[in-house]
Amino acid sequence: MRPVAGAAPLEAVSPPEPIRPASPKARRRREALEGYLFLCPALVIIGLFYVYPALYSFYVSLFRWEVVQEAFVGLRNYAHLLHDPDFGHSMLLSIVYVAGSVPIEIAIGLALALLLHQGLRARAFFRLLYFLPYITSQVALSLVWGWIFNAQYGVANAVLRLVHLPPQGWLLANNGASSVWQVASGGHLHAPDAAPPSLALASIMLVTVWFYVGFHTVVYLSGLSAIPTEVTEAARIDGAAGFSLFRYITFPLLTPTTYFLLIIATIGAMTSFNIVYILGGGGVQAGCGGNPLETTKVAALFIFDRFWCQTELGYASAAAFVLSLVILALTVLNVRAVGRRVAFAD
Amino acid sequence: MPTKRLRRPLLYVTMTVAGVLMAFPFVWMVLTSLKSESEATIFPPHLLPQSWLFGNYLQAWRSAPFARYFVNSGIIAIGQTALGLSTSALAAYALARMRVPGKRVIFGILIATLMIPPEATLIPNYITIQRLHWYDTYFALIIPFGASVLSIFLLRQAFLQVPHELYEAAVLDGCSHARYLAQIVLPLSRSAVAVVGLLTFIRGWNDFQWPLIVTSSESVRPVQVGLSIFQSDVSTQFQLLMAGTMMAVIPILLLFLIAQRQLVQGISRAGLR
Repeated sequence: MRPVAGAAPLEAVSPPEPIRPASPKARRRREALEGYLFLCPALVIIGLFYVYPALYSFYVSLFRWEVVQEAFVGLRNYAHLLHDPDFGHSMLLSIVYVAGSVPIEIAIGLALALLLHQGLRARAFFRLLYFLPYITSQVALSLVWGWIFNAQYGVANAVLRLVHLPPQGWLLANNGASSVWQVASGGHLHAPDAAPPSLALASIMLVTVWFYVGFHTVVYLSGLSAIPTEVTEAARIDGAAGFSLFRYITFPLLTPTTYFLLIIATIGAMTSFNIVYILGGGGVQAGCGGNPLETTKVAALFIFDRFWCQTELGYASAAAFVLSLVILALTVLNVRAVGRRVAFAD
Repeated sequence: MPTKRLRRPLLYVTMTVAGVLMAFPFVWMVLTSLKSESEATIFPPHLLPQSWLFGNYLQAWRSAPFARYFVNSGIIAIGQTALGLSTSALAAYALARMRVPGKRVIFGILIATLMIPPEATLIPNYITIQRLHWYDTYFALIIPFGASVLSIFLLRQAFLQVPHELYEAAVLDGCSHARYLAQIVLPLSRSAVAVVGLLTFIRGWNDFQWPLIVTSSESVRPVQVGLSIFQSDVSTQFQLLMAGTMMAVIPILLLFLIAQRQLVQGISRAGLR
């Protein structure tokens, strides 16, 4: 087999046919060259569209860059960000969004995985059902959720009606979700009305949980099946059962999975765009025509708005860079908080 | 603690309740898509349509260039899959089986790129596309996704499973790396190749933010972006909107039903989000 076109450099090192048994050194050099050739297409694309932009985004952030590159402004975009209440608010909303969706989706995912792991007959069917949202289009299904939460005709308000609760604005509700819990609890729960999340953001969290629960279930299931049965059997013989078996045996053995899911889900939710974009404008997409709701403008939407709608590429890049740093910090925090226990579990 | 006899039914009930909650948006999408306009907008809503209007799908299909959107999405998803599989398979093979100096470093850098959040690359990539004059072309939609670290990682794992003795035997017969990859490694790793291909296709079909930014005309716009425009067009005709969303979801649903076992296993192993 001769190398195909574009492999000209190889001809230089390998003698033309007939192939003489090459010296080991020449053969090794040939293999290395061929290896780089194999790596080349992937590395060019990943370099151009992943590595280079990650560095270039910092460069862009040092300029006033509106549609085209303008004056070098040093770190002034960052100084500006520090005093931009909109940006601070969007970062806060992102963190609220993460805190209100990630732990819940992981907990429900774990619970469903534990139930499915009991060896039900219809296990494959349920797994399929729970997993379905994860692979379907977030745009399409977010539009469906927008319809479910429709303030006028939505089925969510019909459910509230069934249990004799007042209808809600859902995605249109700019006020605190806490006020709803207050009504639902008959006035027992008190929280400041303006405290995030708004009911709109809380609805979006619910949708997020729905999208990702099945993913966590599936990953936990594969974690559960990796636990050797001898371990659980031995624990059973020693008298562990039910919750104590879970608390002292199963859950500690699952820490690597939990750790992994926590990191993946936190990064995913910090950068979540599609769901919030489609639902964040009060049931219609946020778009550029003035977002009616400021309480759903998470960091990804803030960046998109500055970049796409205001065409402030430099400023938006600075915001994206800060977001990346925050994500990195959260990851390190996760590693610190949970990582130590992973070593123990292994 | 419930007795043994009670436990099983209780389990099934819990699972079923969760299943109903998970499936409800899909069911509601289908049911709404078959209602008349006046029936879709009554409160409280009926569960089932009074008459099942399958014509809504035809009407939705006609009220936006869905045919064009579908062709575009197909071209984009298939293009990304074909290109992504080729580049990733070559790279994965080099990393798994070839003696390439510095390949550990290369692999480390590749894995590190997984930490880069999409927001950080969005703006520079947009600038790159403008400079390459690729804005509003299929190139902009396909090439940036023409290689993926995750695909390389998954394929590398699979290629490492192929026994090395096979390679030694093949090499003695004068087989080149390219031929060995194409005729022995890929066929032996076909389930991993299928998973990677399906994942790439699904991501390509469902992707939204990037095509939203780099397309401006119907001729290349994929169905997800088309759907978001369709929403503003039909605004209050929810039965049409639901028919549109259903159409955008059907290809992936079918694909998933056909290949669900491989996909679920592949995704749980890859840990995508």
